[in-house]
Amino acid sequence: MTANEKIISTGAAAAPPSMHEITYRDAIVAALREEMRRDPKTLIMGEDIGESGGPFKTCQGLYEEFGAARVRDTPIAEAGFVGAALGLALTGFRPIVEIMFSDFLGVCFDQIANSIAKHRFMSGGRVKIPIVIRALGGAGLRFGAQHSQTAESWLLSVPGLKIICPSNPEQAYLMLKAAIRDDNPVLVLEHKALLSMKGLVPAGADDVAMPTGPRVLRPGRHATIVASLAMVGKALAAADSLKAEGIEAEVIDIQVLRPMNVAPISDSVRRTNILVTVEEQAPTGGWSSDVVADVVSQAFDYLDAPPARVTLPDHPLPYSPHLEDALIPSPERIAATVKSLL
Amino acid sequence: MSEPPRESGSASNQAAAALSVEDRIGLFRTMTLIREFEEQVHRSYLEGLVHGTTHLCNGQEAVSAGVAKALRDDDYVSYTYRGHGQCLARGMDLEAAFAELFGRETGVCGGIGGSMHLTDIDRGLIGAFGIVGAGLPVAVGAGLSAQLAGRKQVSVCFFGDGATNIGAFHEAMNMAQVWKLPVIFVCENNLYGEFSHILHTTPYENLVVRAAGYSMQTELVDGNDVLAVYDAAAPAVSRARDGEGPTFIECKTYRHRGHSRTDPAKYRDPAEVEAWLKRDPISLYRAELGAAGLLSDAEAEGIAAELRLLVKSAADRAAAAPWPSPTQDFMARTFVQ
Amino acid sequence: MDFSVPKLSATMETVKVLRWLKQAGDKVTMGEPLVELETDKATMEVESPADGTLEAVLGAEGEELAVGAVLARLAIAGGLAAPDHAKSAPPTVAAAPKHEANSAAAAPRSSAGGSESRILASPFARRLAKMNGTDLSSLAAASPLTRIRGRDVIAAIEAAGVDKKLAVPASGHFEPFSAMRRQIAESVALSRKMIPSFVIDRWVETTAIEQARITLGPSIEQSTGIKPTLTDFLLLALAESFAVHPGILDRWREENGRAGRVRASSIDIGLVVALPEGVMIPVLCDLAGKSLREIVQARHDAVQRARSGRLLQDDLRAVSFSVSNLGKYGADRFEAIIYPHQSGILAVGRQHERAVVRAGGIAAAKGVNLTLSLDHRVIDGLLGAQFIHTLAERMERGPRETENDSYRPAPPASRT
Repeated sequence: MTANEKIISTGAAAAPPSMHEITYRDAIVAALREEMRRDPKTLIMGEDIGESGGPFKTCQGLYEEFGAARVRDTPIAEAGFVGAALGLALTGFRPIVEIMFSDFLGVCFDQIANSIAKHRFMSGGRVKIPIVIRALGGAGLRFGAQHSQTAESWLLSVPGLKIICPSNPEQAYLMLKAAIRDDNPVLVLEHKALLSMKGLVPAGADDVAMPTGPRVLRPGRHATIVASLAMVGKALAAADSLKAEGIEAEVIDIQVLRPMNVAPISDSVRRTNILVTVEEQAPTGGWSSDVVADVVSQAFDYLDAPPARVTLPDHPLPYSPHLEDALIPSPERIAATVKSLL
Repeated sequence: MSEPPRESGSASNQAAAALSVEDRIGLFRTMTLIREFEEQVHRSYLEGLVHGTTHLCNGQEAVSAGVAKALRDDDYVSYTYRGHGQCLARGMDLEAAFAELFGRETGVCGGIGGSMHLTDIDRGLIGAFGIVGAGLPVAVGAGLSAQLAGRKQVSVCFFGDGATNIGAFHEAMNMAQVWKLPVIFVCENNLYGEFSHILHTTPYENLVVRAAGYSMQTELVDGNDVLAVYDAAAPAVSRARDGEGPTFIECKTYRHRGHSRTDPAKYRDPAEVEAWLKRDPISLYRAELGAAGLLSDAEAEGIAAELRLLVKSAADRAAAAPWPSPTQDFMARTFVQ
Repeated sequence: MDFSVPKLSATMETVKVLRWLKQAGDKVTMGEPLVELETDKATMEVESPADGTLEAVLGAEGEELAVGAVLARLAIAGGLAAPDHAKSAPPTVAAAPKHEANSAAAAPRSSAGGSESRILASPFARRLAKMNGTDLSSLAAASPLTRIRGRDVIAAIEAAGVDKKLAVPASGHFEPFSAMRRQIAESVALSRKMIPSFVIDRWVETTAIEQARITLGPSIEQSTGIKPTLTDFLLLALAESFAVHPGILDRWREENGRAGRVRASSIDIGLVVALPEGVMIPVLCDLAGKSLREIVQARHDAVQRARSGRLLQDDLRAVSFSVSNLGKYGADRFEAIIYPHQSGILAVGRQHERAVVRAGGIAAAKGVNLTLSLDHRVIDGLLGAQFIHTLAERMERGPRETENDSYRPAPPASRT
């Protein structure tokens, strides 16, 4: 809980920042803009992020303000420009990279896993690598199997990286700012289906810090539901429908995948005795397995039923809307899972 | 199987001509230092002081020495797992280098990186990359950094012929040329990618063809002629400083020993090896200096002996250094806290 | 060798270690009691399976262990090699018991033997139960295949809490069963459900037995210190009758989906002993060829065992026949329920006088009602009737007098 308080800019003497209701997309742009203004060493690279403002308009207006040198269109060469980000970081800059679809993390996987994540360590801690890699992923937009993955688990097992996943506009803004200020490599997994989501976001927040773990979005006594990215909204909707049946579900946004900190979730399970996770990924090798393992280890004596995981099926995602919608975890499925454990 | 080129690179001799006697002898010293270091590493490996494996650059010293001579202290250098030569040419501390190979606490990376990952950011040695070709995009990033910083720094990337086949190479070359970055791509073409002869993996032997495909300026050089290397590097570096973009310098050279310590290199034709050993860059240059009256045989021997001693004592001190602690704060080595 | 918790009864899942009778380092002999274990049925002493030295004690007093969990390690006398793993890693053998004993003392091992029990309960339920001293096995009785949840334990705690305050439970108040009562309830329900029994009655005159009691009794009492009872003579007659009709001892069994019988290999009889809180059924083993004196001794020991709640391993042998005597408590006649996995039970009523017709006239004779219940799946009416006839004959004839006070049953007669 304390970690989350830090995210909101407060500052004892400073006036609280003004809040405005903007979209997740605009929150990203705002964060980028504010941080690039704040630190001339920051720059952003990616495909079509310059004059076009990014295929998802997540860099809208940055080129006009900061110019081609700092808002740089790259060729379609993820290994090239992600590796270049390392070179920039080692030599005094703070590069931000946009990966158009999280699925393309496969192309620069080597640069991230073998170089970026390890270079500081291999140097004995002598270099610092302030890199932010933003990747847009997720299903629901009918982009087919190769353009719909959240890639939450792909780099989950690579030590040396931080991985965060904002689920709402406020997090998209605050966590991205904190990531840009972090002197370490941070992978920010954003979700395409959330781009139009609206929410209250502070403007000009300055006292930002990387969250240290999951956040309770909605308290409840009867069950704990942990979710990430677009599944957070589904979990909240499930909690609404459960409430109508007298079941109070506690909804937790995992928000930080690496380093994983399950303690707040275990605290919750000690109160509710029931754990359900919702992850927009195939069942094997995702963060929910880690959460379940850690909760069983940390709160074993408080479990009143076996933990359950709600996930995508164990095959690629199909294109047809009729199929895609049926396979993505729904509030109904989440609520039914909770009820089955009670 | 090709004959080693006899002629020098296509660049003019003007750069080399401008070198002072001290500089020239300095080049000899640098190459000899690298050779003595590698020979000591070889002996230390046999004594069990160097662990895992290591990749020696005996025979390729002229490339490191010649290119390094053209650089400033604030230039950036990236290299590969066969990078001891580049590190020493930039003045990496001998004892710290040995200690790193021996896995000791006093190693330049605390014993944590090892032979393949010697990093010394203060000397602009931004890193050694164990994944073939992975260093090129990083070097491009450093070149972009130099371009943005506006201090006329350059970024030099050393890599082998094998790297020219991997994706990251092409992405980096393309980006460097498109953005006109101050990057010098130095390809040490020693004819073998690990155990495979170049013609088994690549359609041709002259890799400058690749660079031409990116509309990039190229130089094709006898990598065993240190002055020819310098002659190619110096103008490429000043072009880069002047904002004229990257250059690809292909240095034809040969490694005396196997790919790594465990490779006896039986896949090479002994006649080929013989021919290249006769073109040992250090012997060739020593003869050249001798012929020019700049360095007598005795002086040359003296330098070699001196450096051998220097190297040996550094190795001995490194061998006595303590082991790093398994209970140290590894997270602090991983993340800036 | 590893000495593991034996499965002492068909229904047993866990035991509680009550008291170690020997310590690590003690020399033990085969048959010597090592430890007292408490099961759902009774407290029993478990004996050493061999001569040797008790190397290590692994279950702490008060600890619950599952069937198969290692209780102790024995070094067999005669220098036999200990099991490989113990021998090859002596430091761990020495270290492990201490550690396990310590940790066991600190907190009950809920993971002992791979599953604390077949009692299905969530970790949270176990925690609540442990904190509040709730007996999970009693909760499990209601539906053994459903996992006990936290709310079930809470309900039990609340119920128990109210109960303790009242001297007399209010009417309609729920009182959870003890393990023994639960066991009885399950057994009889199962028996009625599973065993299609039929009943045969016979009134048996006990005149001859009374006679024998007077003539043989004193010397038996003198040598054993025990007065023979009607039961002893009954057991003697039963043993003889079983020898004549061995089919009475067959038991129903289904194997691989096929119906069949299991023949008894020895004449064992269970003796139903009433206790304040329920019943216990010690077993008299190998009665074939036993003298009256031996039977008296065995019967006496069995009753003692049952009354003190200390059954032995033999008491948990599979038997096919039991005897239940409610006569001394006042029942003229009753029908006993065949215990699950057995195929017959003899209910013995009150010894009393009744009017009998003899030689055309009415006389008074002492006797008892015998009510025999048999599992019809494996024993037919004909055999049952024949058996009870033989039994009655033997009892009415009485034991034969011999020069000494031990009696050997007559060899099986050729008659049916």
